[in-house]
Amino acid sequence: MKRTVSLLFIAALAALLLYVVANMPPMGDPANPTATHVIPRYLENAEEETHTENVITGIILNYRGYDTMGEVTVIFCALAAVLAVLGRERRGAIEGFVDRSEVVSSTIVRTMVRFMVPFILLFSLYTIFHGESSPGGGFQGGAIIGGSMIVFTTIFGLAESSRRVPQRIRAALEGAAVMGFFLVGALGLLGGGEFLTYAWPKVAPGLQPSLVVWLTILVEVGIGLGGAMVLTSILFAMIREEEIATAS
Amino acid sequence: MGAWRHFPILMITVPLLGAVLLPFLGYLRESWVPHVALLPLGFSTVLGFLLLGRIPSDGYLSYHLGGWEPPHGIEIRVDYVGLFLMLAICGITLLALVFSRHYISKEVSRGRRTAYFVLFLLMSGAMLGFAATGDIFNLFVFMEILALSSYALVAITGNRNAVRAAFKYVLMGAPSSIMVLLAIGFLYSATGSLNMADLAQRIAESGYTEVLTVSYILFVIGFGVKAALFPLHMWLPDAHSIAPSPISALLSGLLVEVSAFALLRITFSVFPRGAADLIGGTADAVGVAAAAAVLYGGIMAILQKDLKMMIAYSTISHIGYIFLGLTAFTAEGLTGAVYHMLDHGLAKACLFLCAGNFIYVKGYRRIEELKGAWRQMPWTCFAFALASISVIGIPPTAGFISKWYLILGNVRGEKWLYACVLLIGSILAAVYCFRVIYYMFFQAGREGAWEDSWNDAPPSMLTPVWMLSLGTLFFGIFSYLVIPSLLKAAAFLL
Amino acid sequence: MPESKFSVVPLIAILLPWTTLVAILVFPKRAQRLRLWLCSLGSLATFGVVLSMLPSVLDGNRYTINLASVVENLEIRLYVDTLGYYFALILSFLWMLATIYSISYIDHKHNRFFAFMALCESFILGCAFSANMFTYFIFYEMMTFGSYPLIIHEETTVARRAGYKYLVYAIAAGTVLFFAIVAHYFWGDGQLGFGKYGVLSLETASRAALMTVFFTYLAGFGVKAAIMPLHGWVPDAHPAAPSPASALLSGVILKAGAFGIIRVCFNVFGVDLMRELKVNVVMAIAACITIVVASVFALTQDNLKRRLAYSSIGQVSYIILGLAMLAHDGALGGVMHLTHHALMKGCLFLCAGVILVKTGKKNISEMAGVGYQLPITMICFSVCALAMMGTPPSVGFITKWLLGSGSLEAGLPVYIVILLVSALLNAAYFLPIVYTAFFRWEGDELDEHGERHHPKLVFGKEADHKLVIPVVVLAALVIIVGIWSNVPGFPYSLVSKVAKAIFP
Repeated sequence: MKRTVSLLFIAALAALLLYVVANMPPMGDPANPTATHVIPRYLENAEEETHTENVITGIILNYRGYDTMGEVTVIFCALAAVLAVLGRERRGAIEGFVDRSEVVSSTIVRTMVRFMVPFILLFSLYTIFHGESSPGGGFQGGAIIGGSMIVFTTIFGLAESSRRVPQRIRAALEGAAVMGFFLVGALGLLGGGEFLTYAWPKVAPGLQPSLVVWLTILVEVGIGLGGAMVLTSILFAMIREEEIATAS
Repeated sequence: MGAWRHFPILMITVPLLGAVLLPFLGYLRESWVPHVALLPLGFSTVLGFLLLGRIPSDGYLSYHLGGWEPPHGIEIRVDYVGLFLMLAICGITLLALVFSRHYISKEVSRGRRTAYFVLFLLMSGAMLGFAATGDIFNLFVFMEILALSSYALVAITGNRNAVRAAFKYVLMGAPSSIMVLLAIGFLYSATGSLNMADLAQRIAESGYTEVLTVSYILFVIGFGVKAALFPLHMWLPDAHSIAPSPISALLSGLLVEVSAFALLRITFSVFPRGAADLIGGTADAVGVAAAAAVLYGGIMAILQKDLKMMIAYSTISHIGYIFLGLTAFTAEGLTGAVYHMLDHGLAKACLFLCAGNFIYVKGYRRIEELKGAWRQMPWTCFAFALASISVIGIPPTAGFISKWYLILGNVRGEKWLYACVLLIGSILAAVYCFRVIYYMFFQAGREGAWEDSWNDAPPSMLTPVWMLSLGTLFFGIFSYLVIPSLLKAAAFLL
Repeated sequence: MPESKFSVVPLIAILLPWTTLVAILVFPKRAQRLRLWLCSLGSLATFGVVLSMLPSVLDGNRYTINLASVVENLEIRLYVDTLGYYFALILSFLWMLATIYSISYIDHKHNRFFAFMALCESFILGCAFSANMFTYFIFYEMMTFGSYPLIIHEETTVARRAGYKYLVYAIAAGTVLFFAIVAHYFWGDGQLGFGKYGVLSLETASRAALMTVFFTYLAGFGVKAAIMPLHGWVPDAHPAAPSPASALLSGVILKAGAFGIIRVCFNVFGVDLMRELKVNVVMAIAACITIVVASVFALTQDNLKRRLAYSSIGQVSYIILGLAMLAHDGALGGVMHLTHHALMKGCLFLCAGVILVKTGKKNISEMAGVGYQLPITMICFSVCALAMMGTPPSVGFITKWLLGSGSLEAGLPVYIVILLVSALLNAAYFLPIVYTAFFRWEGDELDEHGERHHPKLVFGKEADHKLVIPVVVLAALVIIVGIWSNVPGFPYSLVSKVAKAIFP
């Protein structure tokens, strides 16, 4: 009974969606509402207006920066949710964890990882800092840092990697993305503009292009660091959960 | 326009900033977290009160983020109704937060307490952003924060039932978010815009009626799940009754209301009167569902044995009230709906916090166990009674005023049947509320169930409870402070 | 609304009973007697304040004060006109006596009882002084729920069940009433106020709409006014409540329903509109049925207070019948009966209370010889019982006379038949009580001369003065008001103005 009802519901929904798709504006038509209303301004003026060569960065950090601020909050919120369900380690407790992985990784792997991680980190910094002019940016860079942490932790264990990135640092930087946005927003307010204005029309009218670039980079760095720390903290919380589960 | 035009954005972002700063404070001084968490919300509340009187009831404050004028940038648009709701959010969250400090020591384990406050602030900030935004994608973003934080807060006690309830909530909530996203996508494809005011114009000119109709249907289903509109309410009773009481208060007193408010915005600001033929059928269906919700919620609430479960079902019933006010499509109905958001928020939050007091002091959850509670916990019991009276809608509480306008709105809209349903709903409410009141005051409890001397909850838990219940009384007696402006604002929306 | 002056006096009258609460909260538990006396002082002061308005009300002054206005036309406003003042006067008087009586009568949970007594008085004064239906409804609902603790005061199973029944009826009635007010607001162009000749008219709404409004009002208030078949809660609630509370239930709270109907007839619909709609026919039929059937039911009751309760059901319908005649004398008699019945039935219930306290007897069959034990009480009881039948010179006679004259004026002598039947039935159920009390006694002992022994009448020792004085005062008023009804402040002096204004 329940199954029939849910199947019927899904079928109805699918029919509805297919019906819409059939009636949607044709794909790729230059006369589409999507192609004629807001998009042209973004494509034509983004570079002058936002002083970023990468139009996508211009849109997500500048025209719709507030949305992105919300999105980074979502990421932070995901971490808070994980910590709410799994709980966070007590202060300083993580050093006491023992590596319980069954297979001890070989020296070759250890050496390779030890050798690779700095380069991965360097690359991620490049991705973050260059986001305003080429593909890349805070999200991608942060994900790369997080990835490197995952690699490091799988090989060297929780205890080792939490010595490298102690709870103190993580707790401080998990919200770096939101803080970055808020800082830029508040500076925009103080500079006489609206919240999240990347320029200070009243304070430094002449400095604008370079100011925008620096503020954009500040936001990117915030997003990168914050994202990386969120990933790391989620990873640590999950491993810890595993540790507790195996220990008990 | 002075500096106060920045107040809404600060009201939204300061709690979010507070949330991201809390983990570090939690690392340094965990015991300070509950107190410091009050600061950002208190700040928002103060700003909200300063905004009072600055926004005319037939106008709005439009704030362009980053200085980009809409539709290219994001707009925050606070009208009178929005400000009214934002103030309600600030007040109720602040009180629930005060209440939390003692309460969570009972239900939330040590390692999770900082996360609790972080999520609490995120949820509050997101609700404020949700109520204030004038951009439909931004609405979605805040809805996600709201949804994610509420999932986690339901599960925060970490026991099996809580996780299961939260999982049920996620199972219904995540598809509903996707539906809203799809609906936004469809709207965008048909109009090319995301700004609500701009959308209203473009919808009137757009030829893609099928896309727009389906998009509205998806909005209704998506927000309907979030607002627990019958028959999409399945997640609510479990989640609301198992979450820690202050969270139940937020979920029941605010979250479902702001979801209903989002649908209000979409119905009245995005799909304007010119598009009545697009949404007419769906709105009628919503009316039927809401009427069913009033009856179903009321009857189920009567059948419950667990106090919080009963309050949760009562919420389902009252969401029906709000939607019946929306679908009346009259200024009075809309006023009733918005006013009901406030007074239901106050009363429901109060009831859940009272239930929290019983759990905190005695660990009692079942209605049966409340027999004779009056002797030990008179303050909680009286607050409970007062809030129940507002839930039923007996004068002079705010519940009466909103019921008056809801019924009047439906009568004006010539929906006599719905007016009768609302009346029957209040009879059902009387049945389930009076049962509890009767047990508390006029029944003798089991031997030893209650102490003979006063031993109520600590003041930091009683104060919020009493402020909420007196709030229902205040807004009942002094409804003339708000109602005329609301009526004007509602007429403006229509 | 006619011209009226701003005044805080009505507000003071409504707020005075709240001082009782202050007294209960401020004074320590040790000073229980002090507290109770302060409570009755509160009700005394309330009566005094109400009384102080008498001269100016008789001069035709109108007082008003606006407490809050939600929107235009929807305001909580107090307004003292002759009709409302008339109700306020009798209710605050009866309340004062009942409060004094309660000091000695109530033996447990004094604080709750007196607090809710005071609250109810405040709310019902609000009803009497309300300027529009919205205000009336608000105070009426608060009064409804405030009187619940009075009914269940004994906390026995019977009382609980009666209280439950009361709540069920009250909530259903409140809902219907609420609907009626919304419909009134909607079809009456937002005019909820009380007009001199009514505010509704066929110009703003259709016939069917106005009929709906009228009958929902009638049903909503009819539950309190105990029009059959909406009377179910009355016979249970009266015996269950403590006697002073039943006196007030019957004397005042039932009348709040009847007063609501009076307001609806005179000030909302107006006599002409009622005549046009012919709604008075239904009212009259319902009232006649109630009068006869309730009296028949009363015959079968053995529990004294239950019999009195059925009697109340019948008597309140006299008011409805008087209104339904749509004639000057009928209206005069009906509205005056509000006070008359309050005096008589208040006294009867207080007598029943004295009997219960002194002898513990509830049922009439057990009351043989009570008259010798409690002579003053039972003499008062007999006076009121005779008055209920309509014996001159008493208030009951005035009612009957005016109603009879009204029915001739309305051209429907059939009402006289109803009144006569009712008088007969009243005699049939009241006289046996008097007979049992005075002319039967237990144990037909023979004295040494072989004659039947009479118990001695014992005066002066029968009960606490606080119980007896209210009874005597009420019984005396039953006669005095019946003879000098025209004294300022007595019913005729006030109601005749109202009736003259409506039926010029």
